Amino acid sequence: MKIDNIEMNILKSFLEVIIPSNDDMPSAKDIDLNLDNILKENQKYIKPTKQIVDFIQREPAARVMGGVLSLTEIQKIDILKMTEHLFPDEFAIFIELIYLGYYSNPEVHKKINWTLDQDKKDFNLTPFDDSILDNISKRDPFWRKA
Amino acid sequence: MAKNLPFVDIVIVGSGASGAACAWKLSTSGASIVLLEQGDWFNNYPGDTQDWEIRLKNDFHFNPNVRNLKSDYEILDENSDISPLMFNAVGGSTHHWTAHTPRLHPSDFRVKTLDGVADDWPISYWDLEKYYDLNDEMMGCSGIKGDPANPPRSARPMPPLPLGIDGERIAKAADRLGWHWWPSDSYQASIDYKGREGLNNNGSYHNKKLWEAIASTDHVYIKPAIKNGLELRTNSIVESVQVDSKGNVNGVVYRDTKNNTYFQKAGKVILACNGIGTPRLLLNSSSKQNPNGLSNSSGLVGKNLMFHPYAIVNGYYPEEDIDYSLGSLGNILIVQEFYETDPKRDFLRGYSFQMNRSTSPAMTALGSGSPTIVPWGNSHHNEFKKRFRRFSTMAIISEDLPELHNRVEIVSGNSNTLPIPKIYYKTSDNTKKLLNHGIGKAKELLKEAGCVETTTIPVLRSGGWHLMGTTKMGDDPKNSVVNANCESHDVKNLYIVDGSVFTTSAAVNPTPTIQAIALMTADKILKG
Ligand SMILES: Cc1cc2nc3c(=O)[nH]c(=O)nc-3n(C[C@H](O)[C@H](O)[C@H](O)COP(=O)(O)OP(=O)(O)OC[C@H]3O[C@@H](n4cnc5c(N)ncnc54)[C@H](O)[C@@H]3O)c2cc1C
Repeated sequence: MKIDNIEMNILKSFLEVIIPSNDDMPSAKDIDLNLDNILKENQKYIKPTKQIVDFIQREPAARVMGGVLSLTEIQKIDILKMTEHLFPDEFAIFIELIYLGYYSNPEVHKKINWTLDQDKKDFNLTPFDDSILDNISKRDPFWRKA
Repeated sequence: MAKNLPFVDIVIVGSGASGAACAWKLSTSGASIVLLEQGDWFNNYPGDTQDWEIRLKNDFHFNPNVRNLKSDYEILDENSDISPLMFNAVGGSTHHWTAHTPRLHPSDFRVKTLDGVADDWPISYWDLEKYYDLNDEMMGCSGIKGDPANPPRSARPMPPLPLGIDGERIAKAADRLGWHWWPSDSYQASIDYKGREGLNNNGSYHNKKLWEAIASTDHVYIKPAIKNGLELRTNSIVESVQVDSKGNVNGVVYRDTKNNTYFQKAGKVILACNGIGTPRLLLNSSSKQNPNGLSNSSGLVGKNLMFHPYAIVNGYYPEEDIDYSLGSLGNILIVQEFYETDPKRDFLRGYSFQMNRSTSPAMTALGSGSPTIVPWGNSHHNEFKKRFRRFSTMAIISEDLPELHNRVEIVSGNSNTLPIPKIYYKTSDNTKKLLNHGIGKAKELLKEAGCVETTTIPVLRSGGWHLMGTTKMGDDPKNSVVNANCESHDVKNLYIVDGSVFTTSAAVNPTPTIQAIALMTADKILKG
């Protein structure tokens, strides 16, 4: 099973509603979520995604002239809310797919100052210092004898 | 027809935390030992690549039903409040674990005597003490002795992991409230230790270095055991334990990936398949002699399943400029102020807090200890900002009292698989009251530490990482499956060494105790 081009285009047309842009952050539509690859590698997303897209396509608002791709932002939000309400489990997996794509993107990592570079100096924590135990060490043992 | 293989002294089934420790100890004796493991060697940890969080939710998912690798088996959990988690490979679930490694308290072994509930264990803390020490040494324990909530213990082989800014905040808050806290014992190396690279300072739950700093039994126990002469057979799924006409154990039947079946004859059989895999195997080993499954004259195989239900309280800090995600995820500190039974409370037994810290970007967006994901839509970025690197988690680990109706059964799968375990589990009223108490106390602590908002998950469904109780240890064959030596009451030379043998669950992570029991059992076998 795979997501075909039509389904992918419909899905993509909802991305900016799911994660919109703001002054600091790009929308999910502005960046490459690598969805083709994630879907290829991880089958669990395909069926729920197909189900969500299918529901969207069959929504009356999406069947009027212009089809899904000409829905307004408000219409898209309404359809997504309804989908979430009717298919909570499938919708959760669908959202997981989008969030994983978004938050695995290097551009997003840069914006939120997240790095995979383990040798970066900021990662260093000061080693454990015994003096923090001064107070608790004064307490008498209180485990129950048995 | 199964192919007969030459006799060996001992067969061990399962190479996770317990099977590996037991195999290593026995391998020092020169006995012929075969270790059968349904999975393969594994070192394909996620980390260091952009897709690591995607892998955490897929092929490295903690839930085998989601992960669905070749070595995994399905577990039917729709009748359970909690989903069981495990990993099936050489090293078992120690490939997934956080390695937070507290010990049981002496009182945990005497709950009937002290509190009039469940049963006392037939062994004591003091019987296990030297095996705890040996295991701490082998697995490599970071920590510091002197904890007033626990009996004195040997010097820890490595210093504690750093507490981090958040750990220090919580520790000082506990001090101000007059509550106990102590740096966690952990099998994550804080300094270089026996060939493992220490990871004292850089954390964040996302790198190969971290997985490698955490002890897994494939490296710690199995490789040295192989050097001692242990024979490991991977990709070998044991289907049943066999007994002779006198009812004595005489080997196991197993299958390889090409569906060839073998009968491995053995003098002793040791099961270490975890709290679900072991009852599954025993129930599947029924015969004319043992129609209800092997070693099941008590009817207790699969019963008394315990999980340690967890409640989760997240506390969110107001400061935007401090990064609360640095350091190891869950090896920070433990609070045991409310561990022992207090007659003034409306529940029996008690709980620990294990502190966890903020997590990575996608995990934060997908909830990470919060009851809700970061919402999609216009509020997404603001809400993400409020959570990302800004929270501490108090995980409340409850003592889970054994109840017969919480159980593992088996139902038939397709003809090509072993039967599928089906889990029935309901969180008890006592546990709910206990968790409620813990939630209130966790909020108090987080508020004292400076958190301005908290969220709560009353019982964490995805928290079935501790699998216990399903082949209970005890002196009375009518009321237990194995004796104090972990040998079956019914079947001579059949042993069980995983978490199934726990008589009660206590309120701490169980693995050091599981491994201490495995080492003790091996020692007793060696001493005859
Ligand atoms: C995400 C996660 C985090 C955890 N964190 C902690 C922690 O911080 N502290 C702690 O104390 N514990 C923790 N645990 C629990 C810990 O991992 C387990 O308690 C421990 O590994 C149990 O050891 P075991 O030997 O009983 O079983 P496992 O380690 O699960 O090993 C069982 C092995 O048996 C094999 N097996 C099963 N059936 C068969 C069969 N029929 N034939 C052949 N082989 C078979 C399996 O493949 C597996 O390798 C965590 C667990 C998880 C999943």
